[in-house]
Amino acid sequence: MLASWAQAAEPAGQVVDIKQAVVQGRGPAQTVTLPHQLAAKDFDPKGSLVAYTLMVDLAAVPALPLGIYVPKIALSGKLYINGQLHGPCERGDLNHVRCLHRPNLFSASPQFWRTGANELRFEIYADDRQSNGLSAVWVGDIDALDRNFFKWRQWLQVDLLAGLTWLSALLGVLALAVGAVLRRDSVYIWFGLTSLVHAAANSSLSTGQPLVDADVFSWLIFFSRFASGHLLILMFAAFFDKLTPRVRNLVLTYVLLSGLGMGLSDNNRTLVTVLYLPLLVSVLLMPALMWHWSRRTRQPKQVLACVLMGIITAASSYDWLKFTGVSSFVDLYLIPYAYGGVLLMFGATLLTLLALSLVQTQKLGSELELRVAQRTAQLEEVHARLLAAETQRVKLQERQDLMQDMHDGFGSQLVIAKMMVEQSKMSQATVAQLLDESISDLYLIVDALGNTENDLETALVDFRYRVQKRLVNAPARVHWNLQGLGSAKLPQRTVLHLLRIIQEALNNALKHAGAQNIWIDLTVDTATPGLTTSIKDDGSGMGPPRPEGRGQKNMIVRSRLLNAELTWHSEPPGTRVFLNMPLR
Amino acid sequence: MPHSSFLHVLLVEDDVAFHSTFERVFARLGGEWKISAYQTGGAALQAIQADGLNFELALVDIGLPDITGVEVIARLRQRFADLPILVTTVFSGEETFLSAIRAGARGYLLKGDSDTSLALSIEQIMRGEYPVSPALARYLFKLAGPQFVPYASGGVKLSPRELELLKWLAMGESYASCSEKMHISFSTVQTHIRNMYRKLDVNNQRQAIHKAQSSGLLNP
Repeated sequence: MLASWAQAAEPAGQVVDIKQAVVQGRGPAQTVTLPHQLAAKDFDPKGSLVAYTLMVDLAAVPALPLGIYVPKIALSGKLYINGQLHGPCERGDLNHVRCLHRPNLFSASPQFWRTGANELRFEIYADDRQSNGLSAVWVGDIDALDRNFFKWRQWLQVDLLAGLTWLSALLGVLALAVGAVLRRDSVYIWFGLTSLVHAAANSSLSTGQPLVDADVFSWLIFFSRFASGHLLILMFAAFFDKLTPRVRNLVLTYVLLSGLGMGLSDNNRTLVTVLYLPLLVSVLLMPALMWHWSRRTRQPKQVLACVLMGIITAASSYDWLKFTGVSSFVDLYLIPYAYGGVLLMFGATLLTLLALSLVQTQKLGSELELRVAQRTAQLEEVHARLLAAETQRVKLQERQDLMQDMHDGFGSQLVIAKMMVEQSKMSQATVAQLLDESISDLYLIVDALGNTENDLETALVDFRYRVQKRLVNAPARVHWNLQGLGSAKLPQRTVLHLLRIIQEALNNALKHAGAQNIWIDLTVDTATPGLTTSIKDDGSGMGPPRPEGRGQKNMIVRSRLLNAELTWHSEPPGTRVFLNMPLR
Repeated sequence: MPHSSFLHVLLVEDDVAFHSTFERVFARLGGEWKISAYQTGGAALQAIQADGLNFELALVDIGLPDITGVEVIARLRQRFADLPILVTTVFSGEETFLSAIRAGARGYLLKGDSDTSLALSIEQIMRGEYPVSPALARYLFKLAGPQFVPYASGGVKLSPRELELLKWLAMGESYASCSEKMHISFSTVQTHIRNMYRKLDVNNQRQAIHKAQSSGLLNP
């Protein structure tokens, strides 16, 4: 019956708001309208308790717990219902805990309540570090209070801000990593620092029980807010590539010295306000300055940065007015949202730009590859053309050399033979011999020019084979020593001259000296380097060459072409022809 | 083995001066030789169509006025499987000589050589000693090397012993010194060389494949 009465008196969803309270601070008690902000005279600057007493009438004791919704208690406070302690806004000593940045929803069980007038007493702890006071108070169905009031304010004041803060801090860490990789004083570093310092400043919003001393914590919040504002300016300046080292050092020094000043003055409000003035001016000027910086290009990213800075300026101006006391005590500050949101968007912009530059790099890379391939193809074509031209030139040279060789060799021998036959100056045997020599010379050309590898040993092997065949029925024996030639490579014409010299010496030994044995030795000296050729016979001995001998004359001419030294030595029995030729 | 009392020689040579050269050379050799000389390839090929014809030796000039000596050699080889065919040339270029060998030639005579030298070469060939010059040996060595696919692209598959022999010949060693170095008899050297010539001979290969096909060896 009681329960049904209570439900009838306090139907579900019904709430009452209490807008009047009696304040008992250091001065005399006074009736005030809620929300109410305490004046400096009401409390000790170092911190003291102030009591707000509110009255609420209940038709009956409720059957279920009643909700008491308080949007703001600054700095902290305890709730007494009808003289009975309900509890503090945050566990711990009131002078250590902080409740000012989040709403409170107390649940008071039926035993606290009585029919008729009920007294709610908030014992507020106040000090001079921030605005102190109490918002309006709502009493009623706890679910309705939660659904209609508490949930939204909790989300807006705590969850959303914490989310924004964490996200921008995360982006800040990423940006610092990118900046560290890029290894230069880039906008990534400034964004990372700004985000992290901003996260530190916002830690006051979610911290109910600071780990450090309240004074230190308070300074930390003041300083990080102060620093993050300045860092934001530096960040935007860096984004526009306008941050000179001088400006950077000046600002950083000012920030650090100010931080020191704040700490030493115990966060003196006047001092803090004065220190904020340059930043206030900067924040007001920045959008215009940035707009000016971007006037030439009007790049979308720069326009976006201008808009973001504009948001900060607008929010700061709005909050500054509120901070000076014109605005209401319970209204939310815009700057944490603006700041978090702007940092988030700026971080996203940086990420996008990074991705775009990656794409651009890839595009450039493939473009470069393509151009390199095209250039390579061009070069190959040019190379092929040059090669063809060179091949053509070499062929022409070879043809000329071949003609020269034929002229010097069997060509002139044939002309001499023809002339002698015409003038009937020659016996048939002499003509046959002259022609035989011409044929031998032709074979020499074949041996030398057919040897495409330019390999000296191969040419000599062919030459030996040819000579052996020719001498198969001759009484003389030729002893060859071709050892140690290795893989000496000589130009074909050099080989031809060499073979002609050897052949001439061989002919002399066989025909003129009537030798029985001929020793042909070729040795490559890799140290000098040089090639020595020795043709020794055991014939009648020729002595030094006679100037009128055509064969000897040819040998001398050819040794000169080889840049070689040709000598005859009488070594009884027989003669040794010695050819010493430098290689290279 | 001669079937009649004389040894029959086919001479395809457009220059009649060489006809008398070879008459002199064969006269030197002793025995009874009958030389059937033709100045064009066409005339020679027509003549060999006659039934009951047999030769002990064929000398074919590489440069004939009507058709190439290589073509004549190939037709001769088709007609006479075991006939020793020699190319006669003023001097040998590797490519031409090799194509003559692939058509079925067993060696070459240099027309510029002395009568004595020519007679000696013919004697050797009649004994079954085919010559391999160092240049030819080098060429064959290359041809039998790993870069050539046997048969498919004109490569020749030679045995390791044959390759070794080619290596020595390419270095200018005589048959005698090859037999010494390889510890084989002189006649084994000859056998290797005859085998190599046979492997090179495209006509013989064609005949072998034809034989294998007609005997069903190559059919599934």
